[in-house]
Amino acid sequence: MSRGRAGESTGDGGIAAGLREAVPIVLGYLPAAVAFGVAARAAGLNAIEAVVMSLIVFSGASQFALVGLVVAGASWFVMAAISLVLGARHVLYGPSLAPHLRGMTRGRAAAAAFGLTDEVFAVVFTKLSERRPVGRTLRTDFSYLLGLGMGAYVSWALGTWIGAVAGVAVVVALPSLSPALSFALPALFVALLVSLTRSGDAVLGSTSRPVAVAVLTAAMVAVALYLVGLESWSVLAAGVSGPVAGLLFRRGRTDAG
Amino acid sequence: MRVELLLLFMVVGVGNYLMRFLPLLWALRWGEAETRGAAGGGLGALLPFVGPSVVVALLVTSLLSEALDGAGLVRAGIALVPTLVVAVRYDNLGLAVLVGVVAYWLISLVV
Repeated sequence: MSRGRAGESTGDGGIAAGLREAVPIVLGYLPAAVAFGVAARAAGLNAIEAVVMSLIVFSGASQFALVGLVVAGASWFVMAAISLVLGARHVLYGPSLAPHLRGMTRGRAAAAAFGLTDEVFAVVFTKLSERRPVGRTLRTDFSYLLGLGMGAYVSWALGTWIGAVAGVAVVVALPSLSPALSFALPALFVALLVSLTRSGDAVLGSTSRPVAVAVLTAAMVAVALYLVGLESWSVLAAGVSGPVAGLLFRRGRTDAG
Repeated sequence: MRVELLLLFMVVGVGNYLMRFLPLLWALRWGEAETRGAAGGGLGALLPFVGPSVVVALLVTSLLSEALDGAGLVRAGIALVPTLVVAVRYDNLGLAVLVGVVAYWLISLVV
């Protein structure tokens, strides 16, 4: 593990820590990727095409949508447009991490951004939020991001390959284990939310109520959009409305106080 | 490998990548400028709330997708309890996920 700058804690960053902390993500990705591989084969893609899609696109929502649109016989333009709309939530992740990564070079940011999926973002944001003081990036941050992204990327590609090659045999062989593994991602998000709520006090001052307001608003918006069939917009909309509500609440309390 | 599919993957892949990279690059530069006093505004005050809001939205959507059938909702609801307890008690991501998956698997044998 490399050392941080003077006066800064190195934490437990580094590529090994990134790979280790990718394990919960891997647990969640494998069954989803296997399911994607099976779906891709059912849609008429061969195993190589399925794996190449996972290697290039590396976005579950976009990939499942692409497969569905291939089956539906949609035009290439529609397929590209819908897949990109589904990825729009990613625009929130970079700005949210940036305050913790100041000083990171453009090349390193370019490499780290490739692996910035929903789950990787959630884990990285939680880890960086716990670190004090907030500010310039540590030397270990890049290798940590790389390790985390690499674990997620390899498991996604590997799961796709297993699903595409072994096909439904895997799903049939593991009737109860597959859904259980798919619960890994909700479990991961619960644990991250607990951790983030704990660190809210340190991030935002003496009270975590603004965080609670942001979280409740985001949850309600996400549920509402999901229920009306706009689930592809739910994360993006929640990621905008929650922070606005939290900030307004905090400013209201400040003005009142 | 069909060339037209490869091109489609490239377009979507590059688009997705740029949506991850460009905002990060912009925010890193904006942050440096703000440090020097050249920029400001309310965006920086919003950012600490983005992570929790996104994580809860991801949690809600992943749970709702589990709840496509009633049994799935029951299994997820029950499995959340030990997951939450372990997350609060031990603050360990890996352990919480492991407990959640095992709990879900055990519940699925019954429900």
